[in-house]
Amino acid sequence: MDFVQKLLLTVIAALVIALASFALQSGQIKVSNKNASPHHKPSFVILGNNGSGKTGLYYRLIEDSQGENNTPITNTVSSIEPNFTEISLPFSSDSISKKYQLVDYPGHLKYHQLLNKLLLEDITLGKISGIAYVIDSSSAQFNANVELISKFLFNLFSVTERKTNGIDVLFVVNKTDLFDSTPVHRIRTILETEINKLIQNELSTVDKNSGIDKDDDEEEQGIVGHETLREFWLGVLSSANSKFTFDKLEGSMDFIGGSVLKNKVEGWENWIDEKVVN
Amino acid sequence: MSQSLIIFRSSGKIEYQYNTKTNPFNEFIYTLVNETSIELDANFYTASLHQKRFYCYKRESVYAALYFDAVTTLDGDKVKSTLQGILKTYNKLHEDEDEDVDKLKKLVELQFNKLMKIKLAEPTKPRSATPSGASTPIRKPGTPVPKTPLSNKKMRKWDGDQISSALGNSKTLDYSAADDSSHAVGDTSQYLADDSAFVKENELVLVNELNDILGESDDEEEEAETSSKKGFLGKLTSYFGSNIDVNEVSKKFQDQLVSKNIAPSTAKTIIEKIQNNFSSKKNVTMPMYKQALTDELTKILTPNVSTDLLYDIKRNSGSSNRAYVISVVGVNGVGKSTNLAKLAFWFLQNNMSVLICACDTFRSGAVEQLKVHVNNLKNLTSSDASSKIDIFEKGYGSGDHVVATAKLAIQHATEQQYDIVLIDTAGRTHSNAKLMAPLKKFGDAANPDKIIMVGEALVGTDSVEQAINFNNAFGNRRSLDFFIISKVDTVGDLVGTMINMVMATKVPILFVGTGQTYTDIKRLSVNRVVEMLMS
Ligand SMILES: Nc1nc2c(ncn2[C@@H]2O[C@H](COP(=O)(O)OP(=O)(O)OP(=O)(O)O)[C@@H](O)[C@H]2O)c(=O)[nH]1
Ligand SMILES: [Mg+2]
Repeated sequence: MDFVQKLLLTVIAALVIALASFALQSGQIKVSNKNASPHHKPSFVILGNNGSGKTGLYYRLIEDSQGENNTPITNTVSSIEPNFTEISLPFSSDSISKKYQLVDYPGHLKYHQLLNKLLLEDITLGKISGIAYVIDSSSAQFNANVELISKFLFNLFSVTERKTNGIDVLFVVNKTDLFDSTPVHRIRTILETEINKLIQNELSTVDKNSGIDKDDDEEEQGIVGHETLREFWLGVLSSANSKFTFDKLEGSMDFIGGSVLKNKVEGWENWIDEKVVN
Repeated sequence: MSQSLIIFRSSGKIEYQYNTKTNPFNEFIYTLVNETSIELDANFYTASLHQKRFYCYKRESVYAALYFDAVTTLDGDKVKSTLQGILKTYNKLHEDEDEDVDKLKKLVELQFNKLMKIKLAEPTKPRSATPSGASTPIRKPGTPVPKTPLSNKKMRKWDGDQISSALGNSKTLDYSAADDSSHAVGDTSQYLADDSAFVKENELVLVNELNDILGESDDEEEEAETSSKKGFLGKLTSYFGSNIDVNEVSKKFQDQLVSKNIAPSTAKTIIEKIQNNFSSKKNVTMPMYKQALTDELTKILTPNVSTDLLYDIKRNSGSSNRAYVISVVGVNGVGKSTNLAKLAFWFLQNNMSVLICACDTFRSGAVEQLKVHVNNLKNLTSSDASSKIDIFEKGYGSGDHVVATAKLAIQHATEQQYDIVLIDTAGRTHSNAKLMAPLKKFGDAANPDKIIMVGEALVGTDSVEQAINFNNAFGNRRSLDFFIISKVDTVGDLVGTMINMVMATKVPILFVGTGQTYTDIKRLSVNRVVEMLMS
């Protein structure tokens, strides 16, 4: 670099610094990127285990919102990345049309930590109009996954219920076309029992001194003053020896059966429409 | 014979499928997500699962993947260039206004069938041919990648009666015949047909078309060139949060990761992945880059298995007639016994009964040291609760004494209805094969529900080699279940060792040790570690 170039560089650098500090002071540049996320908008979020049918549902909902009914199911394999799109709702009417973000978040355990971030910091709880939790109802799959599902919900509710009145959850009981499909009401009661076990387990960790039980996870989420998991569930049950049922949650919990494959999705779409209209 | 091919997007949408066998790909995709597949080359991955060999080539968010029976082998380079060609074909036809699905199908099948024909009939190494169990052995990251034999690049001919299913009468459609020297990455010239004269008229059209597509220059490389040519102005604007020079920023962050004690090669792998993802994008900003790196580090540290150990144990107590067996391994002096005692304390606090088994029957004083811990823990445990703790020991000895002690302990614990047996093993130098060999025997005999390795966070130790060697010590079918990283309190924010160990072995970290007392153990806070690395 010759002298002239150096000089030029210095001058420009000085200019840049001056400009930047001016911009900062006058508040033209946002220092914190709070809510700068492109996903910060009214949303419906599809969650569930790997292979439950989320992406199939995602494409079905997109097509239905565009009025393309009766197309065959979109062939899928497991998703490597979450899907985001914008759709016009409600399904039932073209005259009212509101834009919503539709999110399909893959089921991989590896992505769970990032899911919390997506819900809390990017979309933010206030913008989530509803969660569609997809369950593969075939006995083989449901029985194999019931533990994973309950644990996921156990943690999910502790997040969604932070919102005033909670977030409404639609349990998309999928694949009812299969011969070994578990009935909707059974899925509900089995999950209640399993989640209850997890809560009782959590509540029994009173006065535990091991550092492992002293979970300071909430602190790191940046939610200061938030109650611990224990306090939260104690609050839900209101007394330690009562049993968990879904209606003890603030958000409404609806279990509706159907099949993405057989295009039996009206129940789910009606549920979404209801949330949009209200 | 089972084989299939799909083109799919990272969204999960299948864009093309050769046949209806798409389900097996899901498990392969899990290995991509968990990064347990082998990356043979940039964007080119393979894994063996359930007697099938999978390959996939990725370009931006589109993947071309195939599998075939693992009893046959194929030259990896051939598979790669075929998948590249198939992706190129797809991208080319997909760009076109009126996408010709039928043509795509024909062109892709032409290439796939061609590849399947040259499948070598030679059986692979015995590891994938083991008869028992549906799944192939767990692949140990860090072990040398079994390289598929390089086939000669000469033109292959095959019998005319081996008819391709899709094209019925394809004869010598060998457009892959090319000069022997050129098989550089991305070089597609080797596809060009030089024997088109043999080809029947209607196929000739197809082959010519394919050659046109494959012969076209790849805009991927051209783009890469221009994007790196950003000058001074580009850098200037980057100060205002607008576009950055990805390469330059990458270098900066790679240095930062290394400064946090991440191994240079590991830092490079991580950064290259980010760089790669951004290579096709314009207008990359600093926040975008940081976010991508934060997300990547978070993914690396997030366990891909359920981590609720207590729940697992409780379920075991309710259903199994054997106590839950956990064994702890590691080199000398990493804090094996201390962390074992911390775990025991945690279990006791959760009303569980623990039998500690002293299987360090070499080092004199090891048994006594455990006894001290057990006595301390006894004093800390209220007698009314259902929790109890005791030690099981059979003195010192070598050879089969370890295995015998472990077996007796498990039997004793099961009879006495203990929930958990915690087995302390002798610390051993991971690089000493003689000392490591007995671990396999021990693992087979005790068959622990969980094998935990304690490793140090300290700077300047060979934690990674330790992790790899211990992970490999239990044979093909068993690996470590998780790590406890000790002495985290002593390294400040130089927590890079954790990334090194997890990347090298794909074994998750569950707990970190933060001090000397029984309460100084914590669940790994992924967010906090990532924050430290990024700060
Ligand atoms: N029988 C039947 N199969 C279905 C139904 N819905 C989806 N499937 C199938 O289930 C499989 C998995 O569906 P996906 O939508 O890819 O699953 P996902 O929930 O997105 O899974 P991840 O992306 O791995 O989290 C696909 O093979 C679908 O064709 C249904 O209603 N009935
Ligand atoms: Mg999906």
